[in-house]
Amino acid sequence: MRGTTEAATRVASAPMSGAPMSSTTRRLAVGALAIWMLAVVGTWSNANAGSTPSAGARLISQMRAAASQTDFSGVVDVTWRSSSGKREHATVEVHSVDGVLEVSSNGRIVLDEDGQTFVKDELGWSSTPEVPDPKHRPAPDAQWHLTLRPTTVEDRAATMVVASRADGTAAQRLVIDDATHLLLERQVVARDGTVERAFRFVSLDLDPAIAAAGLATTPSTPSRTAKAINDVPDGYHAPERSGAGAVLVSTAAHDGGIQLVYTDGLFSLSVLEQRGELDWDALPAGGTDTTVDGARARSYTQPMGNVVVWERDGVVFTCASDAPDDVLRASIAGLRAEPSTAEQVVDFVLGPFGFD
Amino acid sequence: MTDGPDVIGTPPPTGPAGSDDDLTLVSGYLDNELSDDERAFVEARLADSQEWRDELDAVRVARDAVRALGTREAPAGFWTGVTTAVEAQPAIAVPEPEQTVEAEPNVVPISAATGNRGRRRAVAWIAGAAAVAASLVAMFMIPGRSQVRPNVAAVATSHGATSAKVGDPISGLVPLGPDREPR
Repeated sequence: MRGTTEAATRVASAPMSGAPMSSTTRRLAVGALAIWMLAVVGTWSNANAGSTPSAGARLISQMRAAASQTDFSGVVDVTWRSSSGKREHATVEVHSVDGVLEVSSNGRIVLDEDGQTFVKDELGWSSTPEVPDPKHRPAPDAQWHLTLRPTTVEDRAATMVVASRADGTAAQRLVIDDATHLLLERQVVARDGTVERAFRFVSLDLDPAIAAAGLATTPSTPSRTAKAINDVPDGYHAPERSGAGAVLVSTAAHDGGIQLVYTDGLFSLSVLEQRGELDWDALPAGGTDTTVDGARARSYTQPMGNVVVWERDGVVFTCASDAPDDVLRASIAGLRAEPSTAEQVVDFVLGPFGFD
Repeated sequence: MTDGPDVIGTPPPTGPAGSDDDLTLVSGYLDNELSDDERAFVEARLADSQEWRDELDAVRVARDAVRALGTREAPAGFWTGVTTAVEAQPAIAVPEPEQTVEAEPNVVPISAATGNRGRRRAVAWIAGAAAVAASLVAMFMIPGRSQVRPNVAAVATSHGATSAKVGDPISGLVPLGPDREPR
């Protein structure tokens, strides 16, 4: 910078009579101009880096569209680690026809149609409330560094997209079919490098007739839609960003409380807030005792991700995420309820008596 | 009217009630805690002054209202919170008395200071009423805390469906296939 300033000063103080500049002055002027141009180009490049999706982000976007645009049928091997660290395993069949995706295993069926999800188990069909359309969804590379490398799955040419943490460790590996852009394999990776959960197609058939033959009947239950809300009710808390920086994309009234959905562009986090006192005895077995910000909590390891339940300040939080455990922990840190207006009044009244 | 017993023999002109000492006497009168002289003094005032009678009625109504409130169960977890808060307070060291002060002839025992006793009683009534009012606010304004039994399996399934919508369908739905959800 010092040389640039000096050069600029010399150019400005050059005689106006038209006398030729010395060679030293010319070199300095050209150097200053070059530095200025590099700075301008660099600034322009940085400014556009955030708005132009990387190759990895583009590939992930194509992958997300492919599942509803491609008819296929396949068998998927699903693995995950239980709370005790034991490796669990299951095999599921997947069929996709005309945008209807069906997953089945041992009589259990999960069916998704136009964003509405139905589940059939031994009790019959039920529907999952459809969350409001996500808004302002960040790009897959908004918070993750994505790198690509070629690979193969079951003799199919594919590309692996590795999403890395800031420290360079892999958080997720996606293997995407080069021909169809279908997701063939996914690994969610802990910070220590172990795979927390994964699935992988062990067979894939792109024949539409075969795919259609595998579809079950239409669900015999009405669909449900969670009611989107703009204003968070008194006593609840809906920060615009989670502790890990994921963006709030959906807010709905649900199950006597509110349901929030966050995403960082790659993973998502669901937060159910319900006012009241957590009935610990009513929680299902199989959980692991843990803490969230010092509060007692219980964690469940599932094939889809982890679920953590805890209570703070009169609100019960039930959070689920498909992210690695360290990312989930960072996301839910700091989640707490705002005291309601009534509680604030009582605190004001009782405060002087020391009962607040 | 500040030194009641000293003026018993010669009742002063009827004056308005309302000073701290008047309230103390009225309160003590209702609680039957006055000496014979004090009682006679108060009754003389009540006989002569409408304001004193009004004051007596007002104190009686307030006292009866407080006593009629009865008791109510504290909300679940309240006492746990109180004891936790108390236990969290640093212990207060109580110094041992180094010496005993011998009573002197001119020192009046505190128990004999009836004027202060009455003032403390009035303050106690006011503080008690304020505490009751605060408790009423707490009981009626804080919504009752209901027991929450979150459906962990439903939240897990719902999240898979949400992931399918926010992210990609295969990642969100395939892991929902295995029937391994908590019940």
